[in-house]
Amino acid sequence: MKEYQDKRPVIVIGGFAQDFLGEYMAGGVLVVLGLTLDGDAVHNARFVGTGMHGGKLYIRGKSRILQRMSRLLT
Amino acid sequence: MMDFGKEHVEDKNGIARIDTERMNYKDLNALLRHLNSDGVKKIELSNVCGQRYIGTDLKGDLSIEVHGTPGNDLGAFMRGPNLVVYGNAQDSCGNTMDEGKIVIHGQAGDILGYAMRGEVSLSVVMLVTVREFI
Repeated sequence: MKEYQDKRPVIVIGGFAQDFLGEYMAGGVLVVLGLTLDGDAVHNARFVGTGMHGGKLYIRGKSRILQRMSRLLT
Repeated sequence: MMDFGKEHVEDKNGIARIDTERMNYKDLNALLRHLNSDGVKKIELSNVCGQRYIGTDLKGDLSIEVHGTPGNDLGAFMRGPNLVVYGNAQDSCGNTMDEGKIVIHGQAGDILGYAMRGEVSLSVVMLVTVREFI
């Protein structure tokens, strides 16, 4: 997914996504709301944002990649 | 009128209703293109079962309701229309889509929105909700 001049793609996912979410993403916005996950459940997608070099990716709730990043930062 | 394999019914409000049961995807898409070039603004498809490329090559102000399970490449290369699916989509939904909106009241398969470029001012929204649908 990428932007082109004034065109800006948006994907809103109400539930959850699976592996390779946003792979090679170059622009636009991807939102995952996690509304169907139980309470504290972790997003089960692997390789999220692999090769991503543009755009924005929002994930609501706990995700493996964010947990790994926060471990690296602390 | 060309022979598309199945007749569509158009009511007085200009809504084209097509029963797609056992309809070949090529016939269905030829009919959709024909209606689109005729300036039809609303199309309702019922009993969709695996027909691929629904929405491909369609342009401008058009809204399409899909009842059933559309096949791969739903809305691929689409430029403008609003597509609402009451059911689940399969793989490659919104492939290289240029403008418009797709709402899926269900789940989508792999590579959703691949190479999508979208439209002005955030109005290309692909909304995939995992919601009970009626």
